[in-house]
Amino acid sequence: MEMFFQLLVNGISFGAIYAMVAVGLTIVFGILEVVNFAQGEFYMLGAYLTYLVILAQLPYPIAIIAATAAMILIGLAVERLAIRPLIGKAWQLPILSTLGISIIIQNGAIVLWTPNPRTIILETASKNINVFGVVITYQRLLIILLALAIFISLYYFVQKTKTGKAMRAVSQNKEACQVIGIDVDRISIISFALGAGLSGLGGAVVAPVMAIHPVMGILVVIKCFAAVIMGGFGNIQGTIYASFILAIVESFAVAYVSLQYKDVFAFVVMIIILLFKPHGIFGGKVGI
Amino acid sequence: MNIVRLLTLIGGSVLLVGMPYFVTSSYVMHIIILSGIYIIFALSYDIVVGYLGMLSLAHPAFYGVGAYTSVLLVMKLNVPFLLAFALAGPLALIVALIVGYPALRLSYHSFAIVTLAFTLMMRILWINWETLTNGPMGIPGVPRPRIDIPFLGTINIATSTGYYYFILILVILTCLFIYLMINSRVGRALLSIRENEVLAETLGVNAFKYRMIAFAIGAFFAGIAGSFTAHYITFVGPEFTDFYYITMLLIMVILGGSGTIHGVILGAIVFTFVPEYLRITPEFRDVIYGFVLVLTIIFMPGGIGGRINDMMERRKARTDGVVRNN
Repeated sequence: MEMFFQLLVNGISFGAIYAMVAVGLTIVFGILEVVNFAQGEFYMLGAYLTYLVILAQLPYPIAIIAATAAMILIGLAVERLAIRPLIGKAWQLPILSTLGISIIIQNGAIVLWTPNPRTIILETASKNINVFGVVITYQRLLIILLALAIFISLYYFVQKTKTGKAMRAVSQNKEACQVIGIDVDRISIISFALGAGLSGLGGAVVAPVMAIHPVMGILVVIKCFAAVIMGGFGNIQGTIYASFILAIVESFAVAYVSLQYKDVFAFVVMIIILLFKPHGIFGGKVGI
Repeated sequence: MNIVRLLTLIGGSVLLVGMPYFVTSSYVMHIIILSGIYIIFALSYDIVVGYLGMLSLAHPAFYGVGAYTSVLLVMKLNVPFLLAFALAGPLALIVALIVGYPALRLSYHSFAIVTLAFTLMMRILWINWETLTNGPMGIPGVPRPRIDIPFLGTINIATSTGYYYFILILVILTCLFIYLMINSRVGRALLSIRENEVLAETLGVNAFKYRMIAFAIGAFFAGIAGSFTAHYITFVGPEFTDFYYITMLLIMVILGGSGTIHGVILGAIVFTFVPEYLRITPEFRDVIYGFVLVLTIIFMPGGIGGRINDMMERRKARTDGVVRNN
């Protein structure tokens, strides 16, 4: 039973990270109708920046803020340079463009930092608390609590603020928004930067737990895609639930089925679900 | 006009058939053979991306399926090369039907993601199924093609000249097949689905069926290209599914001009030669490729082939006395 809860907690902490990256993907899809392949690279860059800031002897909270802020800026630049010129053209062009950006960033990171993995040693990652035999490190606790705080504030942002309401409107009908004077370009760029920032934050909180290397983004982003598909494209709540489901399934499968095929389970779950529910478990666009 | 055409045709054929006699450098010959492989690989990718209009990221997986199929048949089961080679394409086709059945029912975006997941799954499978695939090390020492023809003896393909004629025949057959397919009922159905799916379906075109056909045919040729590559470089490994191939194929197809046979052939040749002469590290090369991909998409989404088609249409319009305003 202790084993069960331990695996559950591990799954939840990874689910929180998947959810942060996946929510960014689903928002960008909901607003711009673009599958953003570069999202995994923002996550990787977030982790590297955290590593660099900590290497410069600065405290961890500053590293988190710096990584998130830097990714927001990079997100703004990518949207302006590589996505904006392609909106309204053939649907595959912006996707291919994000694929190109992903290749540039990933290989640029290999050129700049070599493929060797790096690790950050932080006290929070080694200290842990023991609740009825279930061990959880402070870092994982931080990940779960931070994710929770972000999802709650995101909920209020999307439901209550003017920008959030505009985002929901744009995801439903772009032309109608332009007619009533909502600045669609502004909403697009905000969404993209928000997605990039969330992904960078995910990278920053995962950095002390996992090895940091240039191709760390690709496996995470593909699982987040799986979560986005399962949750229903553009559906924030569905995506969050699906992220946790995937991570928990993965956690149990690694313990009871096979470690070697760890990365396959998420895809198998995704394909089985898509066979029966092609629009995801939680239906199409409802949420954002 | 007809004489000019005839002369180009004869000149082209002489050049292609006599290539091993004109080109003395074995290194250049090697790149020419690689170009042949990429022509088949890129043309088959264009069936899916250009004619079907779907962004598949599963193509390297089919390339790998073809390569592993014929290598394992030859090395583990001692199947004659020609039979193993002939089975590589069909097996890739069967795998494509299995993947396509759920994936082609999805939205365009989900399809791209599911096909990418499939490529990663195949890669993980090949890395971990060590008893069969020798894991991440791959299988070295793949035998070179040995074709036994009854009553006539054996052909051993070991020199670059032999490989050149082998790939030349394959390229010609592939081009011919794709040309005929595009200009057949299937090709017209595909174009109608790409341009307007709803309209095509109301006219009685079964979009799902034709998508399956196109996806499977694309995989078939990717499998052949993979099998040839493995027997040419005498190695097969999980590298066959590298993400690098996707970038490369997208650049060849899009910069060449998706949906045009001549453009894609040109793109494949140019982008086989360019990296060979750009002597830089693979990572730096990939950074440049990323930039080429993004810049092409932003500034020239129709590719070179698209440009040539536009130019020809404009010239035709001028000679026809029609004024077009673009």
